[in-house]
Amino acid sequence: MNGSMETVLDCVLPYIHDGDDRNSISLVSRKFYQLDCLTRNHLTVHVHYSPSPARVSMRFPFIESLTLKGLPRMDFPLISSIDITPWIRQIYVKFESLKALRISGLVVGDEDLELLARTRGKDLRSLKIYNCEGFSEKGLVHISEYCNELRTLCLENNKVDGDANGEWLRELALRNMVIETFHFGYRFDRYDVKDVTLLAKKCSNSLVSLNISPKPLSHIGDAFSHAIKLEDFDGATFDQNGDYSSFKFPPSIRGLGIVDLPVTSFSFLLPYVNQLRELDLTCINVDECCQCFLIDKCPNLEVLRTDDVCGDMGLRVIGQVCKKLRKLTHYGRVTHMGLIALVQGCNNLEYLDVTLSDISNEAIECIGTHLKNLHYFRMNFPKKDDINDLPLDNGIRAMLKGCIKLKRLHISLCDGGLTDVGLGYIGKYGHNLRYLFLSRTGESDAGLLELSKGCPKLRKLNLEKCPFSEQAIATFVFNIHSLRYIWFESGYNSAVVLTRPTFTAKALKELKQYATLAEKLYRLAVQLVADGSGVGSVNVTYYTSSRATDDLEKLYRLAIQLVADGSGVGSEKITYTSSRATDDLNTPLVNALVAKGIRINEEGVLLDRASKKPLNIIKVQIANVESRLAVAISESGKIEVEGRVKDGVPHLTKVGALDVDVSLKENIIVCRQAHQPNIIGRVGSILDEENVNISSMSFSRIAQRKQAVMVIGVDEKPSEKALKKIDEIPAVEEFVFLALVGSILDEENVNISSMSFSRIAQRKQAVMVIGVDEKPSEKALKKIDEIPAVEEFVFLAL
Amino acid sequence: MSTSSSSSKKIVLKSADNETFEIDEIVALESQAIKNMIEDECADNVIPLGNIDSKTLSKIIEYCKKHAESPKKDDNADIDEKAVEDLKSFDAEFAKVDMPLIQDILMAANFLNIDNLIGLMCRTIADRIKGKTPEEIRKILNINKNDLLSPEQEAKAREENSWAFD
Repeated sequence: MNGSMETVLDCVLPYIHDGDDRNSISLVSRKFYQLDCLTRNHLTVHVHYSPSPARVSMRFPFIESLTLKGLPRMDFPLISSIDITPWIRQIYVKFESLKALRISGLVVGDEDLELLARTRGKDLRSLKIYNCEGFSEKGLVHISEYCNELRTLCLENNKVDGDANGEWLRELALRNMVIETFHFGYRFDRYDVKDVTLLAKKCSNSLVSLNISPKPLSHIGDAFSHAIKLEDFDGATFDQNGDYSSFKFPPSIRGLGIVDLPVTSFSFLLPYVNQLRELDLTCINVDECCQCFLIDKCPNLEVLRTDDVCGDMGLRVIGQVCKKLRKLTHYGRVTHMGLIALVQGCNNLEYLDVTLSDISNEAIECIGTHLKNLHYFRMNFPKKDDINDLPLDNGIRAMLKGCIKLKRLHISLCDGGLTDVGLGYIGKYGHNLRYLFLSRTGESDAGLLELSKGCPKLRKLNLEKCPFSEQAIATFVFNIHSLRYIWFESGYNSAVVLTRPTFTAKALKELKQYATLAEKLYRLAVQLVADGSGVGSVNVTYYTSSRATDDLEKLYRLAIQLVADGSGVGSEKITYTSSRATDDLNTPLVNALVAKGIRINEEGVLLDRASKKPLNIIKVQIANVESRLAVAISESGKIEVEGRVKDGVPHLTKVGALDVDVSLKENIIVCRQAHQPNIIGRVGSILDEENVNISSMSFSRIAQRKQAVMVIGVDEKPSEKALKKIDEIPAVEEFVFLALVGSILDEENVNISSMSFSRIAQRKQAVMVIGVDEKPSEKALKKIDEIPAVEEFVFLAL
Repeated sequence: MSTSSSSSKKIVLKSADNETFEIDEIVALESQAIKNMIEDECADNVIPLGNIDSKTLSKIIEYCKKHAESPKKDDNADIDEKAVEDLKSFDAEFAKVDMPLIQDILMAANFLNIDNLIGLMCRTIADRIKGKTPEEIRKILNINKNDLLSPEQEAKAREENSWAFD
């Protein structure tokens, strides 16, 4: 029976291509795992999350097509990019069956392209590079020189270094005789159109799809005369004064993209309208015009990009004529009326991108009723003019219930367009959503919480101008376990978070404590800054333990930073998060902060290799400022606080040069006083009068100065009067109250039964704080006091 | 080979459980393996199929009969649309059987080399496991518990899958 299962699998596996299905199959059994490893043809690797290239080539030695994905810069700007070099090196030595390579969102250097071209150029049949940066024309010349068997070459949306003058294109035209699909788009605008003609001539029997940086259409006539098989062409501007005497489109043309085609020249396309499947009529230099006259004549359109100005009228035409339409991108302003007419007519729409000036729940519901194949929907909604039918909660719910295949949803709304309830619906009904972009949606963190209860397949979340606190994002997004990337932007502060695969429940629990610690330390440090001095530079040091837990440490740092960002104390906000920041502290985001005048230095210090904790101590320093508390200034002249997580609870372990030990639960009073035995008692009873619970306390002496510093953790904020009273105790020289929580918790019966013990290292002394439920007898207290080693002792009645 | 003269000739297939099926040769020729045997003249008029039981064999014969009767695509330039539709709905109905039988049919079709049937069974199995979790697939295909990955292997693969690979 086992043997037969193998045969069955051998037969069935070639019928399963989807990556998710393949992933599921690999987990079914040992045999399934092996067969999947050996038979997987195509693999998409998310480089940020990937194990090493060597591991991937070991698991999938025979893949023919490989896609390497970094972060899409368009969706997630300001992120430090990942270098592709290790992958190119691996491709050089392994992946022997590789024929197709697609790279997106990564840094690709000229050397990478050269190595790839020299070593694997002959094998490659398809090379696609999108949204990448780091290479120049020089690298592409290598591709042209060595990759002579390329059937597909696509180079769109890349940021190219230096000036390209078209040498790579000339080289390609000279050497390649088999290319079928060749796209390079806008970024390479300097080239000689004669090279395109030459390429079309040499590849006249193969060239099917051509997409070039726009040149006047009349100049492309020569290329068209050679490219007899060409079906798709994009990349011409219409030059009305050009010479079109012998101009002809290729006979089997079915897709056309012509920029700035004026309405008077539509007749030019009329001989081809019946065979056109794709049409791109973008306007850049001419005013948008009525394009529905032309569209009306193209009954076979499947893909349409239009700047039509006729609004709803135009959509009605499309709905009536283009019954086969699958993709529509419409930049003209339309309303719910037109939308309803469109979706009723074009039931095959899979991709819909519209800009709306008015909308109704009914129209959105209509999408759910008619567009069963919709997988991409973007509605852009620039202004809240006279819309009566807000919020759109119910419409969105009905749409999601109907469009079960929807994978990407992009909603740009106006305020009030979608409430927290609506966000809850997206969570509840967005079963298949992979990518979600929300702009100006929701009302509060509660909405985000509702959203995060659902969307089980969500991978990317992009939030813009939404009223969520960064704290809430840090907390709630972790509810969606599939989430790979989060981008959050509000006002001036932007933060990117990259979630990590190590988010087990245990790690998360642990993580939260470190996050809390970082946040509280940061709050403390900022509050210690004297009024009037702005924060100029913040130093955060992470004392890490072991290189083995490198990844986990990164994860911790990221979340820590995110939460620290959200603390919002004072007007200065330290905003900094990045993907692989630990690899390179000098990230673009940090640089951006420097530009804003805030310096943030972060360093990781390796403490103890043996320890299993990924992070031991977090230290926050603020330099070049006055402090409200002189003792908070360390020997190096900076405000300095340090903390660690002990037994799952964040603790403050150092203020300035002083070792202390107080749990960072609620609020903190720091007080420096002349060393007098009864001082603690006086402070204690002032707090007692106020019914303020002391949750922990630490006391340390500054030996030389006959002074002592007392750090008291209190549950509630004492009244101003009480604080003043403490300040007025003659012995008290400095005194600050530091709030760690925004709201006062009303826990009335807090049992104080904790014990803290901190060592003043250099001084060979220790401070012990014991929480007790009842007051011990006077006799017992006296006994403790009489223990010879005890130098100071006090009992605080609470 | 599908000439009318040979259509009257009979072939007898014998299943593993010794049941015999007498069918027209043209039906038997749907199987490339049987076709080869006949062409090589190494088949008497009884062909023993020792690894196919009668239940599976009768299903396969049902399939081959239907497909042998239908006009072949390459025979005629203008294909009868109705016949194509008819064959499609026959296939859809045919595949509505339980998983063990589908697997048996696939194994047998693989042995007999009946391309269309292999394709149909593979698509059926693939459709039934698409979009399913590993646990659900184990249930559908009745995977032996002893064949599973070790918990560590599974955890590692699961983590790689869910984050790094599509």
